[in-house]
Amino acid sequence: MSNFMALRYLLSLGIMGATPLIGWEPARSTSTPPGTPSESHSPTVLGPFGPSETAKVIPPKSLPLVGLKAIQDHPTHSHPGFSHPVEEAAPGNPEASSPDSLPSSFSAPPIPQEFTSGLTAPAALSAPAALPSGEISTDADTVPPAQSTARLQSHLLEADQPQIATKPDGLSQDIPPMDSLLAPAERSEVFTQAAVLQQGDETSARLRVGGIYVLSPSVFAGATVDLSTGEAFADTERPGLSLNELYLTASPATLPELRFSLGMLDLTSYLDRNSFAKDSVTQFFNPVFQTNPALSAVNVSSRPGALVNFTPRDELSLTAVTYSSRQGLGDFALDSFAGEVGLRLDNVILRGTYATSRDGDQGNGFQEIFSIDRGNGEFGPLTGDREESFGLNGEVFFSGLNLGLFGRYGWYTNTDLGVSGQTYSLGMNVLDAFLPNDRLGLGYGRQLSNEDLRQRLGSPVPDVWELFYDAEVVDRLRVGVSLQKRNAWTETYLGFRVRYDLRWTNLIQEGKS
Amino acid sequence: MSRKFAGLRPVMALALLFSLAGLPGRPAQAQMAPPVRQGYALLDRGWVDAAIATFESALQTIPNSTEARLGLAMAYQRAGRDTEAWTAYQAVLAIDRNNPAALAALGTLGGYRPEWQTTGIEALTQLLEQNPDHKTARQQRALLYGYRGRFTLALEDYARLLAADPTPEALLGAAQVYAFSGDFDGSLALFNRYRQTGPYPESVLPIYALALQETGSPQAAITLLEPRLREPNQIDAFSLQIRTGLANATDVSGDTRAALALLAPLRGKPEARLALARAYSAIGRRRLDPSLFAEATDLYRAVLAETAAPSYGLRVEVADVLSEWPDSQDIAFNLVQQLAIDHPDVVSLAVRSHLLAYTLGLESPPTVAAQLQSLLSPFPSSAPERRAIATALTRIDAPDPALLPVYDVAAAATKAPLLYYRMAQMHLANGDLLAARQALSTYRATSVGREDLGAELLIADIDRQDGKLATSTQRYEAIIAAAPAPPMMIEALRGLTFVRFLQGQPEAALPVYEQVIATNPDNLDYQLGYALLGYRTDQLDQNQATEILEAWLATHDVTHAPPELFELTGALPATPQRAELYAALLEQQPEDLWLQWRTIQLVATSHPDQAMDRLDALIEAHPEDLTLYFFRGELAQQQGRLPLAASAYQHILTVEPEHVGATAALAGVRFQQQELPMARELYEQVLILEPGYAEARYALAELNVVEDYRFTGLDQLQQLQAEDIDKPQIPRRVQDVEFDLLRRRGFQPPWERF
Repeated sequence: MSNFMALRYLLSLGIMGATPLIGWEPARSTSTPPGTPSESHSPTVLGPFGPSETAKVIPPKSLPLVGLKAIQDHPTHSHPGFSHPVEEAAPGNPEASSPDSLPSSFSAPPIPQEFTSGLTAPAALSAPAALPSGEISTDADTVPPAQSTARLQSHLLEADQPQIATKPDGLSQDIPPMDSLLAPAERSEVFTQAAVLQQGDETSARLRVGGIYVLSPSVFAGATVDLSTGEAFADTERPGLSLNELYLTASPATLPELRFSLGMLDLTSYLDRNSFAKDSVTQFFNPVFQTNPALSAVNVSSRPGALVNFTPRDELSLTAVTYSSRQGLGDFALDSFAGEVGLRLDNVILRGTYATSRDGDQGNGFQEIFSIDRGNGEFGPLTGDREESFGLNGEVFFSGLNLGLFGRYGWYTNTDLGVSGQTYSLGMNVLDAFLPNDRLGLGYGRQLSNEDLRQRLGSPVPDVWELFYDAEVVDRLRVGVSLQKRNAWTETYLGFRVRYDLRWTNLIQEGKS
Repeated sequence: MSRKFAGLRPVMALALLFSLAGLPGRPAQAQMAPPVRQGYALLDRGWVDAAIATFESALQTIPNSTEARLGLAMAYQRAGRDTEAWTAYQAVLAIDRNNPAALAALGTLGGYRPEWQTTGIEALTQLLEQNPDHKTARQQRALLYGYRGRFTLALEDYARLLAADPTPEALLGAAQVYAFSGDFDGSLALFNRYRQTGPYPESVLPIYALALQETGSPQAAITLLEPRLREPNQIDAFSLQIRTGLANATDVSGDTRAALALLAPLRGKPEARLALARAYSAIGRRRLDPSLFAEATDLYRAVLAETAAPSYGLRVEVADVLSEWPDSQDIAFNLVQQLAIDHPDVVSLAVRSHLLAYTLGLESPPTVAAQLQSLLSPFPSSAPERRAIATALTRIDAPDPALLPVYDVAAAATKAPLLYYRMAQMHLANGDLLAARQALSTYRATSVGREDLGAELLIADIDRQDGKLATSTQRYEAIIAAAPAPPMMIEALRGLTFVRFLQGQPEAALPVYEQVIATNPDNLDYQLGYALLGYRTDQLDQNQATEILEAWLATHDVTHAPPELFELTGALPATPQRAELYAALLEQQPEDLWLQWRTIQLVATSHPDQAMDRLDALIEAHPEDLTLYFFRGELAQQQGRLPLAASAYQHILTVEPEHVGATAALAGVRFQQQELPMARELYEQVLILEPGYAEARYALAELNVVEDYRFTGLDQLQQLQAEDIDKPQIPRRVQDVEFDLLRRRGFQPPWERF
């Protein structure tokens, strides 16, 4: 009981984990888990209260006088005695029970055969034993499925809790009624994530803190700040303290299909998403399995910009974003554009992304690009070079097997240099492989490179084989290990990572004190 | 007895004495000693006190003179000194044991006091052995037998008297005994024969009124009794008879309130206890009012306790009434058992004893059936015996079908229509609808059955079992419209509710409940049924249902709880506040699975494993009961043991593949297990089985949300909201999903776990 209460307490405070790197997981939906058979629809297998059943359940004993009209005519017992001289007990009329004197209890009709089996309650009653119990924990909307086991469990408890147990002292007021509407600000939340990632002899660590504040049902603001060291986090470009996101998202109230975001955006969380290869603290360690290297090369990262998403239907998602090639606001210029078409066919998702930008101050590109002679004594890309990329990204999930496959292809070109590179990766994830909520993955990837140049340079094949395993060892704390073979199986890297998530919701309660 | 009547007593008694003795006025005077002769002379002249003195002094000298002793006894009797007369006549018998005059006088005096009746009967029997044709003696003995409640013997004597030129007194006595033995038609006929000979003595009017009342003329009974009603503080036997008789007739005529008002002044008067007990039991039985009946049993028990040597008749009467009331059946059993031992010749007592043993669960139905069959072959020939046996049999509600042969025999031997009703119940229990209908039509052909709404209830249930749901509904509604007594009303409401369930429109019974409650706002039993139905059909919420439950509990004792209380308590969610109630109800119904389930749920909050163990044990004891698998599924789900939950629901589905509840429950588990396609398939199946099923539609909307078909899910949720589906969380869910969409950054399928 106490554990149970404790859990509930935690949940009610919204201490939940799971912030994906890709932008703290946006609304992982609230899908209310189907609860336990909620009380109101407990299987009413016993007949309802049909006469038949009552006849069985309740012996007529309890209805002593229930009876027939005939009883009413029972003449006995109330007769005056004989007219005889004696004052005392008049002679009764014992045998008197008259012919039609009636028996006491008429009870319900006998049990109809069909109900004795116990299963025949009219469907209307016997119905829905288990439905999404609907009760929504305050944090529900943001809990990724990964946490669902625990959460669903808690859900059940919550659903049933009020019915079974008395409310915990002092707690009850903290928990808003599950079916009450929330004021916008009440959906605000704060989260933090700490991750340490070791690959070979390179250690990276990051503390990410962020939050959203909801201004109205269709407008909210968000921010994320990273404090990091090391280079393993593709979406955190610079070590030290950095602003990853600071933005405003809004949607026309009557048109939820259309959404706008403005500000410092983590573009990786909008573009080139993939459920099996995207996040170095969730899936593969190696960056080749994160955001498409071809897109990363054109500043699909944390950038100031303006984004619009249009989702005319569930199966189609269209995104366009204009952004600054430079991260710093001092160099702000809307000199970049990216667009993505996403298509979902059941368990298959395809995304096609195009992006164009200028080389930022890092002068990046594919590995061999730095060998390109620009003719003026300069080699490689220069800040301000126009770059273009295409990315293709596909994933398919086999739910029966808990198996996901992914594949990516990317093409990058520096139009000023007139050279291009390609990249691809493919692989698989198995979910719940050994433990609930764990993940096992195997992937093969090619870094962004120009094959001709590479061969000319005699560089090794810039490929990566990676096998990783990641599991939640205790609540909200995940540990992952990785084995990588890089550069044509010539180098071996062992990896290890730890990640811890916390999330606070329900921080603001309006009109409830 | 009125004073006037009391004054007449010695004269009448003397006249009777001489006629009984079959002697000329007195002993032959010639042989008497002079003082004795003088005594008789004084007696003749009416100087009773002088006669007593004379006889007493004569006995000083001739103590063994039969004439003197007889003279003294007669003088006492004429003086109205009954006790002294009673002793004096016995003194005569001490020296002349066959003295006809003394025997006859004792027979007469035997009618004066209950404790003298047995001696009176013995004296008359002795006289009749000497002279079997002695009509007056037989007439008096028949009367005394009647007083004693030995109707079989009384009716045997009357049969002889009525066969040949009966006297008016014989007619009058027979008329009364017939009435008491329950043969009102016979009684009325005899009263009418007597009427040819002269007016009724006032003393028999209550009985005559009863005969009228019971033969369909309660108004005539009222007309007869009303002018004779005395002040309530008059508590002599006759006044009580008038008052209680009038109350009884008034109740039969339909005015129970007035009847109870007539009885009210008698409450708390010890002298009126028995009369009141009789009246209350009659009205309680007629009006199916347990509280009146309970009061009657209390009064009867008090009467029995305070009566030093209760007569056979009183003992049987009390045993009979107590055996009708569950709380006192064990006492009744002891009484009847003792009576049966004391009177082995009375078969009906043995029959009642066995039946009570059956009712109390002390004997198995087949054992009792065998005992009764042997007791009843041959079937007793005495009419009161037959009636008593038939009554005892009809009193058992829904008898075990094993007893059917006994009822067959009884039905053939007696004219007790209700036996056919009971037989119909047994046939129904056997599933033999045809035989049940036949038995009922036999019952319905009798005058009792024709009027009996109870039969109508049974027919409505047979219709239901025959699948004639519309007819069944009409019958129930007609019964309800007839505003029967509460117990029958509640049965009709139950029946109607059940049929409405079968028709798939349980809520259609709610307005009927509401009407009944509107006209009977004080009957919380109806409200209990209403709460149960309303709660089960989601028309009442948990708080409303709980309120009604608690109102009932505040005013009723759970030891007489109607089935609805058990069901409602079981239907409402488990709460520690009701732990004691569960225990109390389970004591009465240890097999009530829902109450056990609620108890297990309470255990589960602190000892989950123990709860599951108890549930497992329950399932082991009732492996066939699918309800328990629902419980297992629910408990397992609560404990996060999803595979166990799934297997529980799957078990139900192997037995009942199309069970909507189990399908939906399994879908819920699959949902939780993240087996979303399976969950979807199951929910869709639910909708095929029951299109429009709101819960499944809601679940599918949630599934769409989880599977990131959020716009579709949102549309569906909004649709449900627009339809005003009773899911309080929907508006919030709409809000949630809209916000999800606002925060969404692309496809977020369920397999995308970050």
